[in-house]
Amino acid sequence: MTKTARLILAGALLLAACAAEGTGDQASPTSAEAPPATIDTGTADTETAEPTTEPAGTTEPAGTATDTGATAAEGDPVLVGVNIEQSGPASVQGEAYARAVELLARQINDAGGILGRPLELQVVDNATDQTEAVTQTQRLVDDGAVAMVGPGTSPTTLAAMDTILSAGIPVVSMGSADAITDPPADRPNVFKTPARGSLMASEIVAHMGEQGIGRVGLIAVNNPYGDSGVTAWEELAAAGDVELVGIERFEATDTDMTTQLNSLAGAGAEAIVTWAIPPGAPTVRRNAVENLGIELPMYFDAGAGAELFVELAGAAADGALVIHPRTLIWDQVGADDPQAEALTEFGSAYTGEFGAMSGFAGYAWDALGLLRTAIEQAGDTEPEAIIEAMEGLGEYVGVTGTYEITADDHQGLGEGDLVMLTVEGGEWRPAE
Amino acid sequence: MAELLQSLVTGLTLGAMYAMVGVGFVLIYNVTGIINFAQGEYLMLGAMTAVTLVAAGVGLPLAFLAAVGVAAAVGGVVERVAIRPARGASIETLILITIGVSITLNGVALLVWGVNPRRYGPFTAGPPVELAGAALSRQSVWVFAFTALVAGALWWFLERTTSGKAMRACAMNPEAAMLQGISSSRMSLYAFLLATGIAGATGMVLVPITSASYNMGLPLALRGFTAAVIGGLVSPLGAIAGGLLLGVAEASAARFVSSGLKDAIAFAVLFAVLVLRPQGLLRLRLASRV
Amino acid sequence: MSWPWRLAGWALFVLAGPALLALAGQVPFLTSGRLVFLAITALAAVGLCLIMGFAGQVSLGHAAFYAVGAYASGILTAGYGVPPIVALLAGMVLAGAAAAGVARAVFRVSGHFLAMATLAFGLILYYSLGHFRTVTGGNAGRGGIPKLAIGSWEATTDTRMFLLCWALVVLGVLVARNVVDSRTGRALRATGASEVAAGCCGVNVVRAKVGVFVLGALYAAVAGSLYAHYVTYIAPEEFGLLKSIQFLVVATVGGLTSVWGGPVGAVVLVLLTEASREAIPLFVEGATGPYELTIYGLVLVVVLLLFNRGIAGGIAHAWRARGRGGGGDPEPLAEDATGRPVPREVAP
Repeated sequence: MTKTARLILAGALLLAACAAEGTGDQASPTSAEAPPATIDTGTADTETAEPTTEPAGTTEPAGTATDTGATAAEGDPVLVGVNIEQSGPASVQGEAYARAVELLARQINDAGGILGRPLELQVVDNATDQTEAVTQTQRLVDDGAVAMVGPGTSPTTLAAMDTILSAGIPVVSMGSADAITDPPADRPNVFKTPARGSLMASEIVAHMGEQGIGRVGLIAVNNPYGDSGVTAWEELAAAGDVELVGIERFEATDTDMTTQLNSLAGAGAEAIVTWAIPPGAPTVRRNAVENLGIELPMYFDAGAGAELFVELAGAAADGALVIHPRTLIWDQVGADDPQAEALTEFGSAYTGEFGAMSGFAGYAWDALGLLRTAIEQAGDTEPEAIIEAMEGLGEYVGVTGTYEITADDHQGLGEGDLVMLTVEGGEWRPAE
Repeated sequence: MAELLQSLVTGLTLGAMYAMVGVGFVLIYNVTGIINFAQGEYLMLGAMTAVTLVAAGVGLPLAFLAAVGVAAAVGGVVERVAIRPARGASIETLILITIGVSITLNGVALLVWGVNPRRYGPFTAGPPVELAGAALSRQSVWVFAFTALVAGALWWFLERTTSGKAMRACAMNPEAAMLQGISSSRMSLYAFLLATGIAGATGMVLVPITSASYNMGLPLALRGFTAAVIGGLVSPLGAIAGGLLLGVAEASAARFVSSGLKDAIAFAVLFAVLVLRPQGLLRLRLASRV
Repeated sequence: MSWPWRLAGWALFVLAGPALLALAGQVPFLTSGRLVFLAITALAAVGLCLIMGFAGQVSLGHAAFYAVGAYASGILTAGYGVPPIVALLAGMVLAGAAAAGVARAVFRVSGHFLAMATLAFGLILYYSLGHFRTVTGGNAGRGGIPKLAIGSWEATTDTRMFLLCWALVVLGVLVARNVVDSRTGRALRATGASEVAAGCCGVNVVRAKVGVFVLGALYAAVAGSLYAHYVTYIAPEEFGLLKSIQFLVVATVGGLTSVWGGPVGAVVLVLLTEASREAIPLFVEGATGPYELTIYGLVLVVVLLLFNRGIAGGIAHAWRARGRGGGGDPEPLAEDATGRPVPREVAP
């Protein structure tokens, strides 16, 4: 084949990929032009770029503003950066986060924006890559973001931490690691919406205590997320709250965990705790129920709480116990539940637009919601003002729980914010 | 005892998976001398195609054929466009090209199918089969049957048919084969079509066990290569034996050493075999590479 | 090439650093961080070019030595308060030792087996990093790594860090150029072209190959240390197979047989991926989604098929060939990406 023909074929392949993407299931991000004037965020060591007209990653092409509904907001937009994993291993979460923030941004703008100005999102993809997380954070800061939602995983957030701290803008991450917000003195401008791993673990222990279960086998995915679970459970075991009969690991790409499950069952576990997200979590459940016929109670952390869990585990999902925010049972909470209104607003909007509820979406919804409320209360978009407002919000009723963010606690969730859920007939229900 | 048996059963199931991927490596390597780094991606293409069709209501048999067809078609195109033009280049360049193909296919799959893993249920529903205290999932039985079928069919093809023998001739001595009128160019294409077609079929059969996602190819490709190397990169049956061996080794490592290190151990096995005994641990001679 | 030209070339190279910095201010997607990572990748890629282009050994585990440097620096400075420069040197020593060990084991085989053995080694290290939590922080990694400091000078800003990294890239290319032009370098190139012939000429083939492998690993280790001090956080996910492949693509696109392959490849790939991210939405309506993977792959394949010396290699070749007149000399044999001659086609 001649060189020209090869070049043409390569080009055609590329274009075909692009065209196919047009019918793919990625939602168009709600973002628009960055404002012409770059807001000086007082950073000494990141280059401030000239006025930018080219958003990175998956933002809209130049010149299109797609975040306006019937908006009454006017004036300079308030730019909030969204730094998430839209490709790579964490892309499932990234998609849910993107959907949630775009949906909320549209609602905010329809209601008049923030401080009477339109809210503008700049969604960038860090590809679950640590290097990319750093550069995209810088990019958002250079483009004048007054705050940032994301990154969505622990390694990406921690890798970008140095840049985040230097930039000084308020950042609300959806990562799970405690190190994101602790120690608070070292993290003045960083917050996170998912509950601490230690909280999830202790809530599980509380439930197990009611059933008289004391010996636990832990199986965790072999990545930072799984490590956080292992650390949390080891701490509980060291404090004597529970006995850990075994800790097994599996790779995120593994497809068969029967060996590890056998080890735990053989070591005398009275319950098995799984710390992973789909597809690992549903595979463990399937292996246990369908391949091995294990009848021990199986607990999962909130990472299992996505529609993919039920879809990939099939009939085996029934009976699994998942500690999770109330988002998955948003349409089942009683009217007297303090979160009822927030949950209904979120649940109906999200499922109305995208079909099934996503266990991840709530974290991003709350992240943007917290920022919006803080900015409104501060009456200002200066970083220090927003941060001070965040810490002084008192009780903020989100969909993940009721946040009480203070200067000493940049996460804000506690007992009572999580509930034990189970699957019945393929549907999420509160467990007894 | 039942536990040991269970580990064995799990290991063999894993091994059958690896074996099928390894077969593809051996077929292509024997005829063309190339290690097709992208072998796992064809498995992924087969799996994703099948899942998409089944979700749209297509029956399993048709989905199977489609999986084979799509994977083989892409494999054929890649062979003509990317491999054939570089046939005189060094081994290193060819490795890099197949890596590039692997990355490209990965990227295209991500764009076409998105990020979410998908799955359909086992071909036959029902509780696992009991084997002296060890449980074997129904789909695993299908995988074993498929493996046996492919092994038998390949043996028959390579030993008993003219085309198969032509392929082996090409593997043993390309110049002599040319003198006999066998076109190495055509054989290379056939090898690719065969290997990628098998990969696509494997993907379709594995979906109930592994779920289908755009990045499922690489881990399986690495294991499949290990299987092929253990078998000596000489014959498909060697790769199958190598795969089963690897699966059992991995399951044993997870059970008796550490589940966190099992992958490191698997790659240590690969390293050891490559460095200490590159001719493989097994010596099944159905075709030999001179 | 006469010396004024050479000097001009080097001056251009040195000045390219500040030029890139200035460019970063103008171009939106060139953040200062991206430049630092560009320089770090370039440095590691120079090492890979030496291994692959001059000694003809495919290494799919280059990121392993990158990781050794990063973790050595990270653990020693953050955990034990060792001065960054000392930690960096320790990283180099460790990586060099590891490389020597691996090379001796791996160079008994060649071609595919060599490549996959390096792959296996890289993965073994990757999984080990995640497993031994007490030392490495496990999968969650470890943070709190201080910024790089040489004496009292600290690389606290991105500009300082980039200039330091670029200086090291220049130094690295200089060293590579000297190695390649030296007697050892000629032995290396001879080994790459034909080990048998080189052996017949008295070249200690094994020592040459091990030597260049170690040298390449040193480059990667330094790059890794720079990475650790810049991001101040390291976790195993950064140092896996994808990173090795990234180095591979950068080195190949830049030109495996050219000492400039690293920096050229790094610059080209950054510009290419970023520019296409900006440009694609202009061509395809509503196009979103991550194109980087597809572009990376296509670029690699296209370069290997059409510009098989890479960009820097192609330029160097054209420069050398410009003097050749028509007639007389037979056309030299074509070369593939690793510099090996491609036999002329025999029609079947």
